[in-house]
Amino acid sequence: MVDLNLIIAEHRLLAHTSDSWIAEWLKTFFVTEDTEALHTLQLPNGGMVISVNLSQGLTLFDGSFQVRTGATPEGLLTFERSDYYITVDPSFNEANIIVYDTFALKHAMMHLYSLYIVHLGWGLLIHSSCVIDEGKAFLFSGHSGAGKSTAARLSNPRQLLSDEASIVRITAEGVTVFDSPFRSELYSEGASGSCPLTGIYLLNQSEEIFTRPIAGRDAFIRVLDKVFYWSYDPAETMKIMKLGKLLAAQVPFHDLYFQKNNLFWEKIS
Amino acid sequence: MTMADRITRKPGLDLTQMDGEWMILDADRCIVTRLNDTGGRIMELLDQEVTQDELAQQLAAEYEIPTEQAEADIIQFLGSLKVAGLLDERNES
Repeated sequence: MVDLNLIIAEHRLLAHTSDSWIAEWLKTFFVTEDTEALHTLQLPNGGMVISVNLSQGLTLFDGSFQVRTGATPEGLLTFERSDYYITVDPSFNEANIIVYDTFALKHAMMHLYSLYIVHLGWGLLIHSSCVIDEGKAFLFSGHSGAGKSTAARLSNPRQLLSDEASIVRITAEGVTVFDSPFRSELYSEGASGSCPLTGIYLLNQSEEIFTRPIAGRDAFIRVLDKVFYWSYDPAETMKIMKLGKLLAAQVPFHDLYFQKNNLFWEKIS
Repeated sequence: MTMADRITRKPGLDLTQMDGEWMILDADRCIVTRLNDTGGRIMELLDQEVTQDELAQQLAAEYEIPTEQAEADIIQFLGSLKVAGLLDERNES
């Protein structure tokens, strides 16, 4: 059995697994710390820790991203796809994850983390890339193929917080983006920390490069479908809606019309 | 529905404002509905059980319009809310 103490933003996931490939994958993509350190660690917000047991099983991804949600007779919440199966208690103290392969493992970890931060009312996992420019974080989102990871790549040498799934902490006092281990290709060195979010740009490809402000009420609706989430309880869905509203009320949104070159940075502020 | 039936909005809806515009958040169905100012005011009044009559009188007074016009507008708007699934169906006979 391998025990790993995974650090994601302000949270700690205590991972336990007997499968060496799972342990290796977690060590490769997540920042870990000494499990001994946890006993003396002062966690922010009174300590947000979830224990996660991981094992291998199930079948190959069948091509459908649809997730079946349900509950066990004991009252555990269940989330099931052909290649992963998650159970978690309603207080999010302990989760069990069964995965088929590394693809399923990545998606299951994202799924659990998204459920967890919404449960805590802490923030949202948003389908976007995030780049730091002069101490300010900017999020780039859009439909599949709009250029999220292209925008991230073209932003080199600026520091990246994410290229696929941004971890966004939302409070009435401000919005902060944390380094995301959930990457598609531009892997994290884990040292990027966090940065205040200054703007959100929704990507559209165009011959001309320009931006257009989006009113808060439209931004609110447009950000909701960029959140990685699978509804299982209206109370949790309401938390997402409230967090989305808080986000749209504080951070300016723009449509960004851009070509696939780095000139778009001239229009970002 | 008659003018004397008691109506309320569907339980669990969240009525909220953003940039001066009213929105209804329906977490049950993951739907956001946008309303104009009068629509928002009617949804506010539908937080408690009221009759169409009471609504019409209230709006006629607040917006300084004839009661008949308020009644006609209310009937049309309540019809839209019903289609949108935003009224409490337990009140329907």
